[in-house]
Amino acid sequence: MATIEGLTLIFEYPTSSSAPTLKTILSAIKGIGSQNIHNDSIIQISKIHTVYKLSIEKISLYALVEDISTAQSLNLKSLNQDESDEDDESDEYDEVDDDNEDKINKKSSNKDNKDKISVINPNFVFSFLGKLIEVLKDYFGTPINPMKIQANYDIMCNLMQEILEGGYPYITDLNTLKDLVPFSSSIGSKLLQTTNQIAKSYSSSTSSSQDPIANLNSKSTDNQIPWRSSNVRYTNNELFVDIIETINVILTPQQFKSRKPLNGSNINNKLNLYSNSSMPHKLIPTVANIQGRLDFTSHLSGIPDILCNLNLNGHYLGIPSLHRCVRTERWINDEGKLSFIPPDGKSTIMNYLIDLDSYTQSKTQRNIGFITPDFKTGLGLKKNEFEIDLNINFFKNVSKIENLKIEIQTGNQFSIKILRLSHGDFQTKSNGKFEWIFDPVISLGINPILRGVLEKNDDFEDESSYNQDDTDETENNNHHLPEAHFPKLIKLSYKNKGAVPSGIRVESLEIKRGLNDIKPYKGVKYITQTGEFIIR
Amino acid sequence: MSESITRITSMLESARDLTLEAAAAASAKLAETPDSVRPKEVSALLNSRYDRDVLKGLKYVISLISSGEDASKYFTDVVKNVTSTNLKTRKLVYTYLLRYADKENDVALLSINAIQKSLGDTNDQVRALAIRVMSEIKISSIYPIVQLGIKKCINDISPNVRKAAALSLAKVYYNHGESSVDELTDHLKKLLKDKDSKVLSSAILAFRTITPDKFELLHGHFRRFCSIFGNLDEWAQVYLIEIFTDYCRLYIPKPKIYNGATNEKEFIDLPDNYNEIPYPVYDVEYDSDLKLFLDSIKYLVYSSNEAVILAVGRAYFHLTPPKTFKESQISAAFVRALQTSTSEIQVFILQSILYMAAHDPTLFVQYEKRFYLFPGDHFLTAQFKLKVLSIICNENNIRQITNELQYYVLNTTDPKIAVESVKSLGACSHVSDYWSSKALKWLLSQVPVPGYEKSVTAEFLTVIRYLVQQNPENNVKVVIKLANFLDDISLLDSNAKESIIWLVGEFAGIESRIGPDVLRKLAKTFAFEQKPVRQQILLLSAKLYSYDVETYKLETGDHGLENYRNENRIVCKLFNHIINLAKYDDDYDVRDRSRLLNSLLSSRETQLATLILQAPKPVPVVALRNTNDKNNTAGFTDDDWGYLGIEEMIKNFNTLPEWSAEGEIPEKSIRDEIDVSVAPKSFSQQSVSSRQNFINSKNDITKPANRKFKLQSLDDFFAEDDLRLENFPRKTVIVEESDTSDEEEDDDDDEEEEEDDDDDGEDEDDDDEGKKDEDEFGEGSFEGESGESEDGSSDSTGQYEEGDYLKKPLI
Repeated sequence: MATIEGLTLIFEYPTSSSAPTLKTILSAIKGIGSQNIHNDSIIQISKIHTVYKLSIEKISLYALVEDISTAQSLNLKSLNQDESDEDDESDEYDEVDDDNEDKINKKSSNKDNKDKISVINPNFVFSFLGKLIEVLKDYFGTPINPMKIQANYDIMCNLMQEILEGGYPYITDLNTLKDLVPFSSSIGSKLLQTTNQIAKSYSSSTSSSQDPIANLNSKSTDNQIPWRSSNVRYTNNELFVDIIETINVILTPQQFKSRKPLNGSNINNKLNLYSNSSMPHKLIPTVANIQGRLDFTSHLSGIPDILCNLNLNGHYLGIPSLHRCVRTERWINDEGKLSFIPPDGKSTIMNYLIDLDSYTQSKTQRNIGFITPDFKTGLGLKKNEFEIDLNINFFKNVSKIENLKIEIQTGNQFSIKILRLSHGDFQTKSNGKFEWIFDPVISLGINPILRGVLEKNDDFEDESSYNQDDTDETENNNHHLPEAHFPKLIKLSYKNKGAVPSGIRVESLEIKRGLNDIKPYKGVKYITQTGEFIIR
Repeated sequence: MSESITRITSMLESARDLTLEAAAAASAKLAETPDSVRPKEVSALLNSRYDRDVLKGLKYVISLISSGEDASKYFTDVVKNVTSTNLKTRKLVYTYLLRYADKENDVALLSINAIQKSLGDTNDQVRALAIRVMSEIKISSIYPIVQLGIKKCINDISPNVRKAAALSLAKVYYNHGESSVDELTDHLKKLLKDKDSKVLSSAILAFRTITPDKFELLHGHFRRFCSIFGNLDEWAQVYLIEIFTDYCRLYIPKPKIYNGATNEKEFIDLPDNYNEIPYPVYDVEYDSDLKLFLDSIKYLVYSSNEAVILAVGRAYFHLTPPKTFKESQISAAFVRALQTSTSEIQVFILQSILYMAAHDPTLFVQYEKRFYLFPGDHFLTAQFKLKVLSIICNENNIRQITNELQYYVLNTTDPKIAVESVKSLGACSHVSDYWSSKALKWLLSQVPVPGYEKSVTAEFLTVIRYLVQQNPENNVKVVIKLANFLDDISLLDSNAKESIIWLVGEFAGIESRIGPDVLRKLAKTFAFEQKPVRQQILLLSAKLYSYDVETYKLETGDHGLENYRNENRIVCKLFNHIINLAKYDDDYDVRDRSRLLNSLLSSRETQLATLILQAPKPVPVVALRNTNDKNNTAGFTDDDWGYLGIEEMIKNFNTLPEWSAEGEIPEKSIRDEIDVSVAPKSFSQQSVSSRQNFINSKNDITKPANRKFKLQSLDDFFAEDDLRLENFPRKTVIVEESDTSDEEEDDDDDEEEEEDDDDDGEDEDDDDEGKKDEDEFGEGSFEGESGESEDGSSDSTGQYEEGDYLKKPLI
């Protein structure tokens, strides 16, 4: 429970003078009480006011949405008077970024006059807030911090003025926004340290120092492509494609499915069973998918028309989300062909999801990345040891693995005693969590092993001693061994460049039209990272 | 070489930037100037002749507004700059003006002139800005000027200005209300004819705000809009899909479903209930306009905006049969969006999926694994994933799903998720009797396992109770097994014990042999049990006694119960023993209860006791009613929604106008395209008026036409609010109270006599208090709910949904 001090207002954009301040809104939320709130990201604070909250990386955006169709005459001011007598606040987020009042006026045509139901697309506001974050990130660089916004209140205001008009989303296309609200980002230029960027930031800073009106007058007003800035000029033309894939997988021991005991009498029973079985341990994926993203950075003059030809490596991408610039029909008719006129600068062209669950097991195995982990339990004399094996395979174009880290969760009452540790460092975190950390960069072809045993913590000894004895008795009859415990959950995380697990590649990148005889520099980058890579 | 130099420069620059940023933040707030002279300095800056100084002053004022402070004292100084030639300055002045125009009406009016002037500026951006600001100022006296300005801007050559004008309509409507509707509608009609998709995007938004019911405005544009869906911006796409979905229900005939099994042309209209198509194989035939709409939004499932996907899903779900829905791959888009979005958005995608899957589980059944939990899932996400799993569960996937659910129960770190998983496990068991018994068996095995949170064990027992009550006759064994857990005094925690004793008591009516034996064993350990358990034992004995009396009456026909006490019946003896034990209990609550039950049962009239002790308890809401049940087509009940936990918003989102009946649908030709090739200026008034006549004559079918905003006073508003708050939480309980209150009074009287009889000196003082407790007791806490706050154990019966045993009696 933090108080209002823990929550810093960074920026507030009221759309009218009578709009309540964030403080009022928060006290209204507080007034409702936390028990009545099922979903704290969307809270109705009065009959016509709903607060939406979107939190991204410690920054929360609040939007007050007013449904004016239900009570036309109700004045906003009443909200202030009514609920301002509440005192302290609680909020778990450090910072409040933004407060825009978003009037969404919707009314459904319902037969009966009495029950008016307002049809509100619940994701409308969240999508909008998400878009806003995207714009801010592009303007101020990632990650957004309060300082960046505080230093640029004027830019923020100008931006909000264009993004939000009268409570509705107005212009949300990044390129158009950049035309309207020029901003020479000192941070943004660092992202891509190319000569081009420097040249550009120089030119834009000089141009913005001129009288903007004169500057704008010269511009063509008839911008045919809403997502692309007009009159883009580069001396060095470049384009970059980044394919970033995130692996999400849950691996379980093979016997899990077939021999899961239905009437097991204790939590770790399933592992006990396996520990005594002579079957080879093999981890198979229960759930597996790859989440992919194709980012495009364009520094091209004029209006280039690009055809990006992907080699999908036999995967079916389902229904990817495509940037509005991509010609959807072309994709549907010829999967793998992205044809588009790119927005200037960086943009996400495609988001896709590869469903590995529909593949055969071995095919899935091939697609879940460059580290093949193995997890064995029930080793050693007392059958109470476990071992984590990481096979870091050689892979074409991949030279190193970055930030490899293994998190082990055991539950509160256990600690891990290390028997063998071939690489890296082992650290104890709080609450039964442990981390096995490697150097920031490690090479391929190694085979790190961790072998350990779980020990009961002293403080829990007494409490569970009775149960221990109890189970001992029964277990002894069966196996003559004390009950063994093993880690509940192992989480793997790493990152590598050079290839993606799905094997999707950019086959060719052609500029069909719009760039006269200029041969731009083309770059393609592949990045693999892990989302939830779990062994359980 | 040059590259490396620039690289170094840029690195140096970036290091500088970080410090500059902090400096900029400080300078924007004029941190170096002391507080006392700051206002003066700001005024001086704002009145400066130099753009740069003015800008600096404005930045400070803006930073005040942005951080939630009051900056109204600079009003005059700021507004003076409204004529500034610097666009950036002007924009900031506008922002300020909009914030404070209400407070300083007179000064604000002075600026109107300047703004009006800039409507004639050569720069389209300035013109657009001017109309946007003008329309947003909430001063009623400038209304005519705004109207004039809008009129001018609608015919502007620049689409940017027309776009701004379109949105101004919505703002004028918001600021000036109903009275402006007619004029605004005229403007809107012009704008809807615009050829630029930017302008249309805003016009659609304005339509939605001003005249959401006047679908007749759209007739002539329907086909054209369908063809340009892709060019609109994403927000307008959302609106337009939603508007057209409603439109299709009102003005387009239902699709026809042809029986695919026979060659004859046998067909029905799309049924109202989603899953009600009688043919196993069928073809669908759409009206050409409906087809056009559906085809044009088909590509929008590739959108990166989740709201668009939700809207497309809604359109397909409510306009087409399952077959088309499946072919459209909307499910795939939903599932992809689920993976790539933030948790706030996920919750609503999942709720939408849940809503659709509840009507037809097969829509999402192939994506079963997408709903498995990851350890990082937010609680709400996890909750709805589990619910979706329980809904899409069928014979083919139940094995995997149960395995997963059991894993979550065993291994999740969040007990709330474990509880939800147990619930889903119960819900999954409806697939078949085999799985139901399997689930029961597993749950039984988990009850005595130590280490679970209380809430989880409680949920185990709730689900067991649900499964047992589904089929009590076949589950006698389960109850016996549960009763066996009681034998070992240390095996269960008191919470679980209570529930089991309660369940045994409830079972006495079905199988009378279990209860007495359980009671016999419990009687031995009565003194060592926790207080809530003692209460339950007491209650159990009373229940058994009451059943025994009934049996005795049937057997002997002795309705006066003259000889009952002399019969030497075992239950009677046990009951007396327990009552005696409880009489000397050191907890006053147990003593009170024993007195109450004793007096209740020792009277010769047993009806009241039977009524109280043998009242049927409803089955807890664990699972959704089987949706495949053809007999039950009445749609979803409140209980079902309660189980699904879908928020009001999603329900409203899925509330659409009914399909119009065959005869009420106007001719297809109304959607013949209006000629838009003419420039907006030479817009023919003729065609509109004739159109309007037609519409007026058809007014009876445009159902919502007579719906207008009802003006509501502030008092009314709050009065309604109070009412709602008052009524809501008490709904279920109060009914019960009024029902039994009469009886209770009788009961009290009886008791007083009784108590006078067995003059029980030391406890007499507690009597008043005791009676208060009885009130609570009589209200329906049959399982011995210890509502008293004395020892804070009021959560001991938390496993029963609040009031759920009052709502729906089990028959």
